[in-house]
Amino acid sequence: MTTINDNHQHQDRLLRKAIGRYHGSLPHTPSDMETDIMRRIATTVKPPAKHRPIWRYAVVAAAAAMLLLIVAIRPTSSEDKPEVAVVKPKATLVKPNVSLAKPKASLVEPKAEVARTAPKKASQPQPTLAQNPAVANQPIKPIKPIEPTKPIKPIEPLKPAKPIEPVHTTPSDPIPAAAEPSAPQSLLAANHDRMLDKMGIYANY
Amino acid sequence: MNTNETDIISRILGGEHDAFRYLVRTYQDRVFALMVDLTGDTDKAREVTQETFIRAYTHLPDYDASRGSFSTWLLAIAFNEMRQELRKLRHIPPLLHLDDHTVEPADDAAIDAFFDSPDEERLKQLAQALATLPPEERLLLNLFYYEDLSLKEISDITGMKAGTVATRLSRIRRRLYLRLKNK
Repeated sequence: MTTINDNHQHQDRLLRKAIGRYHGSLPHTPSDMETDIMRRIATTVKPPAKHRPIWRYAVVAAAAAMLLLIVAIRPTSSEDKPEVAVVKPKATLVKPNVSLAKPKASLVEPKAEVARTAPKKASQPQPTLAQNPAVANQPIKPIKPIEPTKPIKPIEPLKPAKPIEPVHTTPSDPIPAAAEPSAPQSLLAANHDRMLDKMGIYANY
Repeated sequence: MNTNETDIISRILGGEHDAFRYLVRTYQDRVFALMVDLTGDTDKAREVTQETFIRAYTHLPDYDASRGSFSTWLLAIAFNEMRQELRKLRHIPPLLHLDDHTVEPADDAAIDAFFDSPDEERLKQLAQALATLPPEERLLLNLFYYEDLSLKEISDITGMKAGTVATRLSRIRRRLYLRLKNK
């Protein structure tokens, strides 16, 4: 399908004529149209201003000045604040720098490794045997037969474990484990005694 | 835009409001004809035409001659006024939603020859067929063939893309041909 372009206006003479004829059949403009429009313009419509009224610019300028004042006043009021509030963030800012030093060092290493290895892969593609004439002309060496490996010794079965002998205790010592307290327990007991001494209470009351 | 119009607009903006009468006299017929064609109502067309000129008068400082001719600017105002008016009546013109009717294939050379022939009988038939077209399709034909506006100017008035205007015009033309060729 042909797409209409601006040159088509000058073709399609029949269509142009037909549209002209159709337009001729439309009702004509009322004779008082012009007078009506001019009367409405004269009575009700404000005259067009060539430039925007000055008061608009004045309002915009005043608003801008107010904003500037607000911005200018705010920093001066913050100067009265105590210095401690300003110093504190400084101290906190130092710490992260120290702690961040280590991760930086650890991050550098992998990059260096990548830089060393990556170009090799990209820049030196390994030629195949067919492409390399030096290798292609060499006679192929006979492959040595693989020697049989030594037979693996069978794993010996584990010996049966000896039965645990029962511990002989005397009837006068019913709880032998409690007789000798473990190291932490003895420490706690010593601490406890020391505390009682300090408080003026003796352990051997 | 001719220098005379530029001079007149400068005079109006300089305070000589009666100079606007010249622009009304020059363009009122074109605007009114388009409005009558779109609405089919003389009173409504009169009302919209008046609103168009008053709006053009109040917005004259916004007119930029470097962006297009005064007539295109005025017709764009008229088109928007018409759309607003039709929206009030809850009838939104389907100009931007024209159905892309499937048109049966036709020989382009035959269509060109058909619309270039000086056949009086065919001219009568074509004028009658135009009256049966939807107003929004006729508006495109009017702007292109009667007002001699370029695709770009029609695009500025209607808000459609220039390519879309061209495609729609081709389809309208083809449909008219198919309707009339067997008569």
